[in-house]
Amino acid sequence: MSDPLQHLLTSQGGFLNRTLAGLGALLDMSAAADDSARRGGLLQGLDARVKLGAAASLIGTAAWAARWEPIAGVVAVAALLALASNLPLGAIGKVWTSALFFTGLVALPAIVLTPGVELARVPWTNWPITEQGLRGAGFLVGRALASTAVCSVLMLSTPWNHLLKAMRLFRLPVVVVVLIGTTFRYIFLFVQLAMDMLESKRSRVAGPLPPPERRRMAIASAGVLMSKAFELNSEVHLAMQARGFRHEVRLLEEFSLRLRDYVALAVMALAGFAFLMVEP
Amino acid sequence: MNHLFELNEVTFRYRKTMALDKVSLRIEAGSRLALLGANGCGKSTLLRLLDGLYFAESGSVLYEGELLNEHYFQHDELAYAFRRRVGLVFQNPDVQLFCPTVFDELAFGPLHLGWPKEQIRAAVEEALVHFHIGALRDRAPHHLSGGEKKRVAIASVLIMDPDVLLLDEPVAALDPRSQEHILELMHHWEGAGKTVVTATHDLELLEETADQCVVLDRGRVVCAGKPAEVLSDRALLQHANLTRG
Repeated sequence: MSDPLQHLLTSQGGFLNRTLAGLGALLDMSAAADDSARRGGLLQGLDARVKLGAAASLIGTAAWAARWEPIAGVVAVAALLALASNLPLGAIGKVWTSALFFTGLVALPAIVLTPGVELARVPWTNWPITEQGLRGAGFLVGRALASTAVCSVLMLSTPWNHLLKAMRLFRLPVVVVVLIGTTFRYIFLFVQLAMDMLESKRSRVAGPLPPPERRRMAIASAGVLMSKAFELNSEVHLAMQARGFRHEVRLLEEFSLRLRDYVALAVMALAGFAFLMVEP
Repeated sequence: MNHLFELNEVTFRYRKTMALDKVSLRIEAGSRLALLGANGCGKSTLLRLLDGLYFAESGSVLYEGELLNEHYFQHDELAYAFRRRVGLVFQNPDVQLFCPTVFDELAFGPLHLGWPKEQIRAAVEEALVHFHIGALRDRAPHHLSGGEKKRVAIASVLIMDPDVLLLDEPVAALDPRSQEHILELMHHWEGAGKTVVTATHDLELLEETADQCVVLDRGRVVCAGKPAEVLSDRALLQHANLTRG
């Protein structure tokens, strides 16, 4: 059976179909990430603060490393944790490949622009490829890959709201945590609203629209969505007031460290120490 | 004797649109009142005035003999006591569910009313069981169905155990099973002698949800009485756009 989302992405419906498909994909991705964060697995059973602290130390190790081995070690640890946590490997693979591709693009000029020992020349352009350029570009790509690997594993194994609350570990103010949480919540409401609006328009549009009409429709939809956003904003404020909100933000943190969290902390500390021992 | 709520000649306007026009009403403690009327007749506005979210442009809204105005809500003690005792369930649960998870949603009210954190945790866990929403504990509101959202929205208010519950179209757009669930919750809660004011245009549920009802039409009270009396007045219901012509 064909995937309706894929059909929308590839069909000739133009602006409406592509926008609908994009919004639908966003909702699907969020639901998939939420599901994987609630599966049974090694990381899913740990306190979000422990995972966040461990992720920060692994990223720090990759950023600090002056040799390949620690960076490769961080990527390997992330891969092993993804396997042990039953995370969706396809989604992780996509994120890692994207990180490799885009950082590779950014790092590419460094290969020929960095002065140093010449190893070869680029055919046709005759630009020199230097040892230092290759090394610098390789480290940039490696560090980006290691950081992306750790972040993707962390995000797919932790409900985002736990992650947000765990950010308090880094002294993030309560008001910021609550603001980001509410923003995230309402982004989805607006995505749903936009999807409903576009779907209702799609049901009344036969065949492709001329470009000026498409632009007019996009601008009108954005305007309507914005006015609905303002309306909703004041309604939400009233709903908060009705339950005692008096412009002072409060947060209930519900974390508690268990034995396995202490064990994980000890293992991560040992891993960090081992990586440091590899450094010259 | 003080009534629980007393509205005297209350007028309220949204810019130039008249929402309530000289509405006078008494609500007694322990009563079950339905505000009946077609869409846009001023039911939701009236509930918001009763909850101290809007204030009358002219006339007065009294709660236990005290005038509800901006000045009343400037006193923290009065404001917290009022919010603790009067709860409002909005018509659109998406407006009311603004927290990242169902757990946070239930904890929001008690947290902002200053309950101790241990008491909040215990109350939330109890409410999750009581309202049969334990499986939704860590779910994000945008992943819930319409019926689940409504149940969570009601639980998020009832967790504060208010004495007065204001309900705006509590079963609108719900399937029959979800409607039944919500009504069961309400019956169970009302048993403790609470005051319930329900805004609705659903005539079928009227006798089940109210002992008294007030019919509104274009911002004015056109009739008040027992549900059976109101339901038998076909001409009135037609005039208020509550039945087909």
